[in-house]
Amino acid sequence: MIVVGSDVLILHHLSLRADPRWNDNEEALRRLRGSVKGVTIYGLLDLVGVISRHAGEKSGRELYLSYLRSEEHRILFPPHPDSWEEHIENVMRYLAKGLSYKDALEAMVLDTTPEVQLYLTWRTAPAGRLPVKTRTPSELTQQRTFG
Amino acid sequence: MADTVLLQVRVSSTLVRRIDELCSEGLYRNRSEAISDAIRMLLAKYSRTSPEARATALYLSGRLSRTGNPEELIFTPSTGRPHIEDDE
Repeated sequence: MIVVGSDVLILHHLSLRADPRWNDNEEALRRLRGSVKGVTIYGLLDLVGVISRHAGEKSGRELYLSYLRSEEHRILFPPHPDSWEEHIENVMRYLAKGLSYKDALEAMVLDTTPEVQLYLTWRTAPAGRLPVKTRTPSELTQQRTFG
Repeated sequence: MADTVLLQVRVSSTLVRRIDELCSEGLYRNRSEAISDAIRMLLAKYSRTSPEARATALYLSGRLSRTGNPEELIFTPSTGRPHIEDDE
């Protein structure tokens, strides 16, 4: 399963056609249509925050519910920690690799979801520090096969 | 007496024993009163939560009906031109 990063979804949902990444972003999403894609709960909440900021609270809430109900998306939740101690212990392993807190949270989800093969994002900083391969939408569209 | 309805529900014998204990301790006069209080607490809990929180609970229990494609939702930015960072 391919997990789609919030940056890819933000470009799409805000229809940022002037962005130089727009065409590849749309092509990658078009090619993934029809298959089940993963979105981490942290990525989804990040997306909802950005959409709420730029398009209003109602839009953000609508989008959240729409992703939960989507047949084509699986929202990935990490195991719920029993305590703050456990959470710090878990997240520190990823923070120690130099990941931001958000990336560390996503890394925890990716690490606990064995079906994840690839993380799709424009951001190159977390590459090599996440537990799965990362690809940009441009790289994905250049591949002949994927999935 | 308030308008009441006879509600037939199946409850585990363990739960009924615990409810009976609460009644024998004097916290409730009978099972009906205890169960009514439990229902009030349940309704209060969910009246405080948002539709998103309730939908998340349904999603996690596998009981949310799945339909539609969120990628069809396109929003027009109303607050300036968003800048999406391509890196940290």
